[in-house]
Amino acid sequence: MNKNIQVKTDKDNNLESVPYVLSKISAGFPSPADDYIENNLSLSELLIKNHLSTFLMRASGDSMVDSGINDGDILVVDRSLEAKSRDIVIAIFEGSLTVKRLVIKTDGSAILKAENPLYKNILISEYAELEIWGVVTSAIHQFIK
Amino acid sequence: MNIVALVDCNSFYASCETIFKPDLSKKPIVVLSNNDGCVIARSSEAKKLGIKMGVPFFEIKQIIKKYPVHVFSSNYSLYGNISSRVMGVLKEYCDRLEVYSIDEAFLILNKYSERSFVSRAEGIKKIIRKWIGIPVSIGIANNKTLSKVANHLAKKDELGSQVVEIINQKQIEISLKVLGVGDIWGIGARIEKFLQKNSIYTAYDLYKTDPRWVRQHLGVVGERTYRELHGEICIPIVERSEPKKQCRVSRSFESYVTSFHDLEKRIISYATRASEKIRSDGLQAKKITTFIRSNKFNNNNKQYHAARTFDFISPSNDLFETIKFAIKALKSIYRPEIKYKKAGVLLSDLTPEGEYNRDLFFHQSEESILKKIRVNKVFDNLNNRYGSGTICVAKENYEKFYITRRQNLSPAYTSNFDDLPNVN
Repeated sequence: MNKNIQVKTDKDNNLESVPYVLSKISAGFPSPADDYIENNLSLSELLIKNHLSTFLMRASGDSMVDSGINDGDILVVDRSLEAKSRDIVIAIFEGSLTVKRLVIKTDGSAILKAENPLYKNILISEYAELEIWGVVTSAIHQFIK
Repeated sequence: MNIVALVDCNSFYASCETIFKPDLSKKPIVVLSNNDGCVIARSSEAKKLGIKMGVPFFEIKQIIKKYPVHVFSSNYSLYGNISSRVMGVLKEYCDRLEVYSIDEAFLILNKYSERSFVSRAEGIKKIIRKWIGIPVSIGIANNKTLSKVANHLAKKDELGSQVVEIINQKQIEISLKVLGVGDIWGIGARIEKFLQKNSIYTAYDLYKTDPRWVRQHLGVVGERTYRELHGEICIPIVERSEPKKQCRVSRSFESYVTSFHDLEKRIISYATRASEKIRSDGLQAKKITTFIRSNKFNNNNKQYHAARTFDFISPSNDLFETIKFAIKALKSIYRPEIKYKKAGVLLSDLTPEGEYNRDLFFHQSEESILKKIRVNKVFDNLNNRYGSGTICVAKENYEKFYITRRQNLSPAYTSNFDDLPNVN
């Protein structure tokens, strides 16, 4: 047995590879743990369900601070998801991208709600006219970079 | 019978630039080649301003002064990332896929589906639009050549669905009538001229030509195209999944180069870049080729092109060895009386690192190999950390030749954490 090292790669798009090492098998007994080794934990598998449609963005400003999104956080945005009311979304407003909580009203209007009392909400009279760029699935906040 | 669908991204580079800049959608955008030399992509709004493909940038400066045209340097890390996402979606929606270029792919769709080909294609188009933000047009036909024809029509259908199917003979004939013969896939500029001299102007004219004449004058390749226009399947779908076998770095010069010294500096920089690339992919090359050529579009100058290939003594990705052989090859093909327009270095027969083929006469101690590897590592680390060209091999004038001029480069949105798109 020469193969001590296996490398698992993300077949989908090679965004990341997660190497793991099985214990060396020389003469004698193999490690009893070998049978239980499955995989390293992969953060990208946890955070990204659809590699093809997921993009990372950087939150700028504190308009969403009460939702847990801080200035400088990395946002994981999946474009394949259909936005639902109460989702945090990236919307296109006046030509630029903005992150807000989407509230869809029964009368067909919508609100792009800031999660900070210092900011005004954006009222959208026709939700159908609003272009949603993607749905924010996580925010990554690093304490040490 | 299976069906071929050609999926082509609309103004691909320009579309990539609008993904994170929605305010630019529906605006005139042009993307420039390496060195910001000429226009290599245009949004449809830019096309409408009369900006032609391939024109030198300085020629459109007047138009840019008059209209708000957004100009970008080519951002290949972005385009490559977006392309792999598009191809990834396509792979999930077809039986077989041939990635034909960064923004085009041939798909094989089988007939075992309740849905029509057109409705399946519309579904694919919608997904790519929603998931990635890229508009595509799709041509559907019996074979590759006709799928290209159909795609040509789909592209023009800007207000419609941009999905066109030409399966029956009537559809095929109507489509060929509105297509110039030079717009047929596989008919190059030279053959187009020849055909026009023989009064063959539209694709339909060629379609109606006697097959014996076609075989006699256009050879095997032309005959294949002709037969595909008639619905036969002559050009197979090639799935390319094997790892890349070669790495090529070449440039067209902004002006002519004649002196050996100037050419040498450039070849050193291309060899440097090529060896960097294969090292970063964990590959090594068995062969190295240097090629040089004059301007093939200017017949007033003496025409010359030449290439020389050497085998490495043992497969290598070592910077200094790569440069040494590249220059050796250059010396053997250089002719002083030529005005050169293009040059490049090609590393081929790539294999994974670590396979050494120790020649009996090639005694290199383990120690000296390890030392070389360390030197290359230091070189790559410095350039990775502080930017390409921070450290380079002497003789090379990086400022002028190596760092390409990219004044209007958009951020590396998808490949650098420091460049992620900001949202408020």
